[in-house]
Amino acid sequence: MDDSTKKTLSSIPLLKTKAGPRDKDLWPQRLKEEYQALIQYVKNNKDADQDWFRLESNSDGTRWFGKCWYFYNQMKYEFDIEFDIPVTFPVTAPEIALPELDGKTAKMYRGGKICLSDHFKPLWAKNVPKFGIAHAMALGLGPWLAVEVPDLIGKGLIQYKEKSEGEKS
Amino acid sequence: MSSFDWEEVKRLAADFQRTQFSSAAQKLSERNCVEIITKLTQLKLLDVVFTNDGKSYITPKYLIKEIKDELYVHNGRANLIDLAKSLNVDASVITSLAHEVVKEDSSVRVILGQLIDHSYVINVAEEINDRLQQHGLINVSELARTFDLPADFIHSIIKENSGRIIRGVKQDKQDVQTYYTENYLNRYKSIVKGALAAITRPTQISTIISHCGIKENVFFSIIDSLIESKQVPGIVTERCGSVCSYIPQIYIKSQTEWVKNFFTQNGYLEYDALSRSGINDPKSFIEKSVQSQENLQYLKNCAIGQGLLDQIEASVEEAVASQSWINILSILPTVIDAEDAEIILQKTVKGNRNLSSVQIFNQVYAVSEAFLNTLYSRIADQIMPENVNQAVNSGTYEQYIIESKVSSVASDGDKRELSRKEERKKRTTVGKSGGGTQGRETKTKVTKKKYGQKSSHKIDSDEEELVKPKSFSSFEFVSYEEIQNVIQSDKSFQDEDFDHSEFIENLQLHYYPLINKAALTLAQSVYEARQANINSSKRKLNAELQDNIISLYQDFKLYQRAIKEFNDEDCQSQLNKYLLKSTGTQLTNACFTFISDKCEDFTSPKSYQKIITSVDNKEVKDAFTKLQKAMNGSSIEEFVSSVDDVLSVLNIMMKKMDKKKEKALLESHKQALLNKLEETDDPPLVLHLASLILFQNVTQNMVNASGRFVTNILGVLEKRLPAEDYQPVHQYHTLVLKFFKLSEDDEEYASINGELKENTPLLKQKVSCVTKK
Repeated sequence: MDDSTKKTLSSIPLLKTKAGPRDKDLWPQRLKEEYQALIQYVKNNKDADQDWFRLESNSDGTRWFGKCWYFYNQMKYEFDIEFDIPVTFPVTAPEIALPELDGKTAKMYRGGKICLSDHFKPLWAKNVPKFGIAHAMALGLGPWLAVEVPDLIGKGLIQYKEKSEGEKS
Repeated sequence: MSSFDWEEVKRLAADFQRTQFSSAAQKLSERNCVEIITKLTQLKLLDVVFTNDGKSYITPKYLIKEIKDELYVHNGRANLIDLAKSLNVDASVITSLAHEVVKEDSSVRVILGQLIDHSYVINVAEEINDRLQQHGLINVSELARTFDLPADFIHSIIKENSGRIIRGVKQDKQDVQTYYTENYLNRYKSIVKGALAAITRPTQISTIISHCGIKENVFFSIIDSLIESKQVPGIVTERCGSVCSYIPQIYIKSQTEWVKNFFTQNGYLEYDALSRSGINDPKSFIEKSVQSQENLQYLKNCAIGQGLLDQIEASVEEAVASQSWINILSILPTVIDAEDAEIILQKTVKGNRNLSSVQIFNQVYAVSEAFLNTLYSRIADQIMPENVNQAVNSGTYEQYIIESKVSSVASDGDKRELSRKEERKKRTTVGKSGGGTQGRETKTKVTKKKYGQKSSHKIDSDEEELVKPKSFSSFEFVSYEEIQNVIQSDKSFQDEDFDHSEFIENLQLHYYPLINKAALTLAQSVYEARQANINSSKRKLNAELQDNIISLYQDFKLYQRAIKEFNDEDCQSQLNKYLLKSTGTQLTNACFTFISDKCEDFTSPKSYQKIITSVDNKEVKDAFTKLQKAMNGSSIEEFVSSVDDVLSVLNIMMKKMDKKKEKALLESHKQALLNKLEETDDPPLVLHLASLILFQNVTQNMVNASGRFVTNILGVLEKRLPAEDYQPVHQYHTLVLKFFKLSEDDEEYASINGELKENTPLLKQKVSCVTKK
């Protein structure tokens, strides 16, 4: 885990409530904390001009989807994100998936779920219930993208697609 | 509560969405900035410089300022590479900017990738000055090494600042790398000046340098400047490399003085001596130092002055005046060798008209003509006549004339165009017959070769002279040794220590042909005189022979008459035969001798025959043939007539025998017999002589008979002599007969012998007694 990741991670507020979607009472509490953490994280990112994803959830907050992007050679590569909050959350980490890239890389499970690094799971287990979705993004998807996207571009497995949606730089 | 919670969750989700969308484009990231600036620089809208890590941009202006600051910090000298490192900018940027700095500020310059400003230059100049003042001498290359600056730049620094910061500096003229101060130069100048002044002998520059402890180039520049300003008491020889030497004036002066003194004292100068005392070109040196005063003569080994020449001339003149000779080597200094002496001598002789008659021998001997003439006359008077006489008398000369005639005939017969080789060959063969002479000649040739090549021409001519007379008169009358003896006996050769053998040898060579030529003419005349003499003596001999023949003839006649006294015919014929054998033979011999001119012993008839055949005249031949025959025959009459014929042929006048002459003849014959009788003691011979004398006494005729006829003679005597006279003779005769019959062994031998001895004086007395009656 590099310094910048650590720094990013430490600036994300930790969560307190240990509750899954099945815990009717505590889940909204937990969800609140999740949102707060995410807002903080996004804020931080925006302050550092390192905004790299958009997320939103369904009404009860069990399913999340959105977009993430990566700049490489001054080009923006954008991918869809989707994942469910597992029942055993927060003991079990959410499995983030990039369905577009399914089958294009070895570091991916079926359905486009990314293979997280070996550090991720023990770190997560150690920090239950302090880590939430924001942590999973910063700790899991961020590094994964930084490693895999340039590799995939180098292999020519992903091409740059001009997005109609104007990217503000 | 839960709905409230959900409300809050919704609100938070909305917040989250808002957050996500709102503030995204608020800030330019670093990446973007880099991109923008890159774009701007690409478009040349912005002039900035990247730092090496790419994290910052610097404007050139600022960079220039920073460069200047760095330069100041580094004491006015900064390496461009170091600048690039410390300013964290690319070296190429620094280089280009440095040039700009130089353009802006004229006191700054870039040298070997280093930025140097004026203050640094002044610093360097000051340091150079310090060093210079300290050491007095600096080397640019050394400076360049210590300052790490190019030599040219240092040169320019020194040039620019000399007189301001760097004081009293001078550049070496030989070595542009070296600078020194005036003081330094003066100090060494003084040292060198002192050293040079102290030197009294020619010295190698290198030793001077090592003594002074100065660097060689410095020394040379000093010495050059000193020579220029004429402060050196001497001269430096031509420099070849660093090997040259210094010759102090004092040395030259003393040398010149020595040379002058030597010359005034001795009158000559030897080149060797000069070069030994260190003068390289003696001739020109002499010219310079002495020529001005003296008329010098340059020879091979030395130069001699007029004084010496005058002395030689005087000596030669004296030699001429005293009719002698002189070896000029004895006057000249020993250094002058024979060749030079010859040159001097020839000059002297040529220069003086009085000496024109002087001849030069052995290069160094001046010989007056008078001396040559006296010697010549001495040889000619002392030896030549004697030798010539000897040669003529011994007949060798005659033989030589015959041989030369023969050889001249032979050579006339030969072709004239004989190759030189053949001629020489012939000459040598002729010479070989000459024996000792030739040996002598070869010997002199060998010795002459020693004299050296220069006189070879002379030798050639000498040889010609030697050989030429030989070719027509190779006869040696007077030998070299004889000439040598005469020459050596001359006073002038005895009282000096010199070895004159070569001179004498040359004199011999000079005289030998002359003398022998003269001797030849003398010999000619002597020979002729002798021939005349011989002719007259021959005439005399002829007369003697004639007389002899006549007397023999007369004797013969007398003996013939005496034979007639014997009655016995047998005895007569025997006597006749004996007469022919003895006197007849003598007479014949005399006749033959007369015609043959030679006194030979005619022992065999062959020799007669030889003479007869050699005679041309037929009359004479016939006469002599007859005479020979008659001699071998037994008839006296025939012999006499043949002798008469011979005599008439030979024109020998036979005088008539008168009584008086006949008597005298008989008397002398008798006297001769008596004398013989007196002398002998042998009984038979005494008896024989006694009988002969008595016979003549009785008959007045002389008889020619051998001992065999004693009995016959006694028979005649018995009749004519008185008995008392005859008796002792007879008695003696019987004793002799007895004596003959006896041998030594017999008893009577001694008694008869004694008796005979007793009777011999008696008989002699008797005979003399009878003859006197």
